[in-house]
Amino acid sequence: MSLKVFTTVVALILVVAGCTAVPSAGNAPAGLAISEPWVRAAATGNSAAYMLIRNGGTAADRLVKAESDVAAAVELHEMKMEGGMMKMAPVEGIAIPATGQVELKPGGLHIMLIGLKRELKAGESVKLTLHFEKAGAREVTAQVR
Amino acid sequence: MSRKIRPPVIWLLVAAGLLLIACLPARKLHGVPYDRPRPAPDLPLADQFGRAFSLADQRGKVVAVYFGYTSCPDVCPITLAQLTQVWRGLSSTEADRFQPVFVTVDPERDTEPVLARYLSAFDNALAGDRPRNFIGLRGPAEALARALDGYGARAEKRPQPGSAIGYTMDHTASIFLIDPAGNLIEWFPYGAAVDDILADVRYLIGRER
Repeated sequence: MSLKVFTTVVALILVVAGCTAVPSAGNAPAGLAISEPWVRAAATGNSAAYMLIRNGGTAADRLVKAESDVAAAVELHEMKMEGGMMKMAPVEGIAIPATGQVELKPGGLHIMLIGLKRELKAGESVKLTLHFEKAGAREVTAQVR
Repeated sequence: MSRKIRPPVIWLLVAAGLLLIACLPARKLHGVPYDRPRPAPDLPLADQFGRAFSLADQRGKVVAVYFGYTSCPDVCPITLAQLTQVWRGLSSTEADRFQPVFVTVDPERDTEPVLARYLSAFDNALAGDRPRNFIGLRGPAEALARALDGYGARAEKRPQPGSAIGYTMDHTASIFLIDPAGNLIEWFPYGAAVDDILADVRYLIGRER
């Protein structure tokens, strides 16, 4: 009897340990994960980069700067529709909440590529370096669409 | 007694009939229709090659008018790409009867060559078919203000001192549709579905035959 109780307790402990181990194993890159990066094709002028930034960590982070050698300047911008008017303005940084995500997407937040040095054609790729307050620098290769 | 009842019933039927007639044409449109279609206000501007433009020359075509600026990296190219998609969704004969027009609200930066180069990325190059070009319009501030006013659109310069872009333009981001007879029919807000715009362009082209 006592052996049965013992094995049950051990089994339970193992199950609990297994359960708690699963989530941390599921978030393979415990910190930031950047997926589906892409850049809008443009003949001249400016363009924008978009992506999904997931934060698997328990601390909030912040995208503070981005760089790329395809443009004269790279800034973080946001588009807003207000009363049928489209408005665009730079933002100081983009907060990435703990265990959350931020999507940079058309019509919203984006990384703006100002003063393209060359034409960006669909199918090409563009390298970007993103600087996060905590996670540091991350290199991203974005597809031109 | 029955005489007293009959007239209201008849008027009710007449009213219902009128309502039905009034609703019929509107039901075919997916955008925001104008209560009373009116002649589309002219756009007294010049195109990307410096030629004077007149809406009257576009009779027989459905014209889509969009106000924007080429430094805008997001909402403007999204909308222009949508209009290219509409163009590509049409048959070759229909495509000849559709003309998207981009009016720059930033003539200061959007010079003729800038406009021409920018718009070339959105042309409708159907495989094995002749290319069809966007018309890009620009003009002095006064003419632009008149054009905007005619469509109930607005544009405002917003300095961005901390940014490499220098300034941005807040602007109306709607698409205005003009029928082949030159009447302003409806407008689509930003983000409208391509299929809805395509359906209406096709309907307005077909209605004229």
